Amino acid sequence: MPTAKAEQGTVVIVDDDDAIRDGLTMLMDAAGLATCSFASGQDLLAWTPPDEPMCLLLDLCMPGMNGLEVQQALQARDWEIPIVFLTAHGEVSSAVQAVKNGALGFLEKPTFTRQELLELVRQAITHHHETLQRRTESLQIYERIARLTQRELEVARLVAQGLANKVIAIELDISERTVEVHRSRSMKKLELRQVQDLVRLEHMLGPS
Amino acid sequence: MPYQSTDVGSGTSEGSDQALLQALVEYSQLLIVVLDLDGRVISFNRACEMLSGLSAAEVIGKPIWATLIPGGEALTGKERAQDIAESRLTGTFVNQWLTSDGPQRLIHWRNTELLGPDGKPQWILGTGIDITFQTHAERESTAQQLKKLVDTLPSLIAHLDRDFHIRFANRSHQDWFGLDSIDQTGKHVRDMIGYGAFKILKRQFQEALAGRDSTYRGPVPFARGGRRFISATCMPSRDEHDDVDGIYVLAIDITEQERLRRELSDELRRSRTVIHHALDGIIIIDKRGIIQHFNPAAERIFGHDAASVIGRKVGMLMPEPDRSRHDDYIRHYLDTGEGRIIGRGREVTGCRRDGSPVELNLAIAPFTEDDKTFFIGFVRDISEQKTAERRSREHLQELAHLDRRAGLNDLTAGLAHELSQPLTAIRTTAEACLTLIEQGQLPPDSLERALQQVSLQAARAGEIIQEVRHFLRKGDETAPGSHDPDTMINSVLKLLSHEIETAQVKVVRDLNDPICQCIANRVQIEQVFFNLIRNALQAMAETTGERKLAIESRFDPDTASCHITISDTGPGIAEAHFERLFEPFFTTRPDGLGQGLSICRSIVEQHGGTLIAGNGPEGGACFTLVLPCIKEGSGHANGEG
Repeated sequence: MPTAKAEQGTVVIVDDDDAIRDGLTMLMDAAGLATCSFASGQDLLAWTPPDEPMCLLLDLCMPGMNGLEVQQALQARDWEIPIVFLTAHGEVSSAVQAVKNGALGFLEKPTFTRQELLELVRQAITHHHETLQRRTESLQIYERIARLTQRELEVARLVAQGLANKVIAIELDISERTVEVHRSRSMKKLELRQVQDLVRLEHMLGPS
Repeated sequence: MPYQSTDVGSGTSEGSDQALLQALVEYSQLLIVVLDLDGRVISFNRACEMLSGLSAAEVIGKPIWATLIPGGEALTGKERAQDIAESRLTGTFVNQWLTSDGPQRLIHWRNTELLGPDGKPQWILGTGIDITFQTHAERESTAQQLKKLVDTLPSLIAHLDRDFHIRFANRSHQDWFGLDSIDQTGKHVRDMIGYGAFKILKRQFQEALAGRDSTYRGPVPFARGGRRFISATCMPSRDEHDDVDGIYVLAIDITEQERLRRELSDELRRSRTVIHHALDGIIIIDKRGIIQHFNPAAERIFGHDAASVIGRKVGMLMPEPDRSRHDDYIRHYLDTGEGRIIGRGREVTGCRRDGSPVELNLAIAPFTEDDKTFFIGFVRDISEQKTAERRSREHLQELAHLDRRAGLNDLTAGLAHELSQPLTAIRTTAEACLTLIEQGQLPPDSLERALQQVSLQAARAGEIIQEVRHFLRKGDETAPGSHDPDTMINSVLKLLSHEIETAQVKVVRDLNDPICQCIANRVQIEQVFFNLIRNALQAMAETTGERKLAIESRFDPDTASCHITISDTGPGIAEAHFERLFEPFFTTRPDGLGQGLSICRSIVEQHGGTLIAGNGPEGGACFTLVLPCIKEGSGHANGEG
């Protein structure tokens, strides 16, 4: 369970070695980060993560499910938590593979310094924070799009594609005036001020 | 006069008695003679006349010696008187009478005295029987019997005259010399026995002729060819005048005897040569343990001269306690027939002259001679062999050690991983403390806990290093002890745990229940397990299907041994590789040294066990290791350990 100080984000530690989990927990605590730890990939996947910025410290070599397998499982579930891998000697190729698969980075045991660790962790949390924000924003937008009527949505889409009102009128077989009305209503519902903003949302307005 | 031979029939009854008497005397076939006391012939009957060829008239009135007794004329008066005196005694005797025309006759007499009218002896009456022919016949028959006997004797008996002509040669000569007829009489002996034989025996013949017995013992050319070995004794034969008139020859064929004698001699010489030149020491002792014989090889081995040990007790060649106990050993064997060494052979330690010990292989056999018991011992100096064995064991230890060090390569990844765990824990804990110190917020109990963790993790790292150090240890630092195979298997599995995990191999253990104990050098047996398990992991490196390492151990009470099988689900051992599998330098790994299995087998065999490779029923390789063991708590050891 997350500890008291949650302001900066939570570090999720997954390692089969008790002593390493304890050590990392203590270090994160000292650095003012909240922690949460699991002894195996299975235990992690059985957990429902809260909707907060997090970083995953994942041991690469574990019995049962190893680090790479955990990474793949997380991707399958669409967890977007950034991962920092902890590797032992001789696992470089696996680590490189992990990074190609989207990991943020890796640290080599036991040579990594706390500075390296904390930097990556903070980077990860920030990254996750941004990711979460973007997701919240997306949800908002989708919510607003859902407010639009069928016609409004059609008009908004064509406007986002850069078409003039006149052309849109011909396209949809309605009057230009009607187009203007739908356009202004959709802009209001979407809480947008400028057409550029609408253009930016073009991909989200696609065929529903 | 008792009667007159010429008085014939006067008619009266006295006369008829007289006539009868006369007739009896006259016509008797007995010789009847009457002598007076001077030896003069008074009466001479017809039988006497016929025998002697002399008429009564020529004889009557003369002393008997003059006419009838051979050599009688030469007798003195005194001798004659003595003769008469003897004749007067009633008795029987044998003498000879001369005859006018022939040889002397042998006569058997029965005499008596006749008394005169005055009652005093006056005449001697003699009645006799001619036994000449009888004797002759007897003599003839005896001679015949003798001849028959002599003929049947297997020896050669011959009688030669002075010119070496044969008077008599027994039948054996015929067979011997391949002669056509039995009768060789009259021939020169040379014609019968051959010139060569004659030449050789001539000396003996001449000795005999000179009156001396002599014997020749030696080879003689055989008339039929070849040679025989004979013993020929020649003796002079003497006539009635005691002069040598010929040679008796008695010869025995001792060819066979001679052959046996020579064979025996050769045999003996051969035996002596063998014993003398044998490389092994040969010592013969009697039942008291006294040394009878000590060959040159034994002299070399023990540093004693034969002369200085013969007659002394064999215990002097042994160290204590055998020296004092040797008499008991012999007695025990003689009483019970059980030998510690007899019938078996044994390695023992002997004692040289300078007191130094010498390792020997000893074999003993009992034998009897003249009803006396002796023991013959064969000793071989095996010092060199023992030294070589020792060196080989040391060599194996060295090699095994190098193999273990090479095996370390396979542990490196695991080792690094294992060590980095506690080190990471130590580092993060320490750094956490430092961070808190920077912030001025390190409470003492947190510090205490942190330091305890650091210590614990350092100890953990230490253990891992200890395991490796233990694995790398040289064999001679660990003396053989009593170990349980299952414990050793588990140690090795722990050492290789990282490798097993990385290889994603499932380990299935089916270990003994109850536990058994082996006398083993722990480091070496663990090395064997290490090599076999590591090989199994490598074999399964490319296996796509199930990767399973199965280890099974069983105690077999019949053979008092522990059977351990290690099998994998890899591709198995190729038919072509089977023969060479345990050869040094044979390997199928590109980076392999090829020593692992060869060393494994050497180690196992040195422990008195076996290591066999095969393919399991599911296709993977299967190694079976058999080690002599005892079941824990059984109380008695297997053999002599």
